[in-house]
Amino acid sequence: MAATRSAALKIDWANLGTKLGLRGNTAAALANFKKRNDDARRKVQVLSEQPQTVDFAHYRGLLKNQDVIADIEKQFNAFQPKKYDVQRQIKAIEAFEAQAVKSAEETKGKVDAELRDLEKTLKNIESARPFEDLTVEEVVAARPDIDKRVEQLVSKGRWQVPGYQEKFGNLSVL
Amino acid sequence: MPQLVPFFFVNQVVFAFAIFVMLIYVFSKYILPRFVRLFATRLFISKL
Repeated sequence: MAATRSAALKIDWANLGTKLGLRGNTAAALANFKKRNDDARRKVQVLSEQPQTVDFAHYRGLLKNQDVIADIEKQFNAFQPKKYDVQRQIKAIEAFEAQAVKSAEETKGKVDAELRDLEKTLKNIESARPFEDLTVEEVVAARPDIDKRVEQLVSKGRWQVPGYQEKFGNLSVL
Repeated sequence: MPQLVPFFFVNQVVFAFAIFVMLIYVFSKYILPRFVRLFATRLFISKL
């Protein structure tokens, strides 16, 4: 218990969100968690400051009915604070942590893959040649759907690409 | 005169058809689709 408390005290709560780059849901959950932690600690502080003993001798001199005081004293001494079994909750928290770590690693892998893809695209863009230097073969290699479309048009008996004449004009002499 | 050679005109007709068929095949399979492909590529590039 003492170890966990000291660990909680060591955390720099104010800078945690910005340091880890947390955003949205995670930051809100973290703030909520911190608030619960603070509340619980404050409650413990307030409760432990209150008197925990009863001066039964004082009441014995004050009241005539000694049976009542004896009864209450017996009950007071017999009182045992109920012990909560936190093991299960800790286990649940550990399972949640494992899940969170797993999902974070998954996200990291996804982001890394995306970054690699983006870098490849960037390199592609940087090393691209101007349109004047491109050949039909290169364009078709980059976009195989052009060949598919040509096949489709030809199989339908169409030897002109729709929209071509509007863009480039008709050079036919006939 | 070659016209007098037996089956000269049969030979003419056969070869004319053969060449005709071959031309149609080569054009429709290789040459004209190349033009369609060129046009499609041009159109694609101009739309980028």
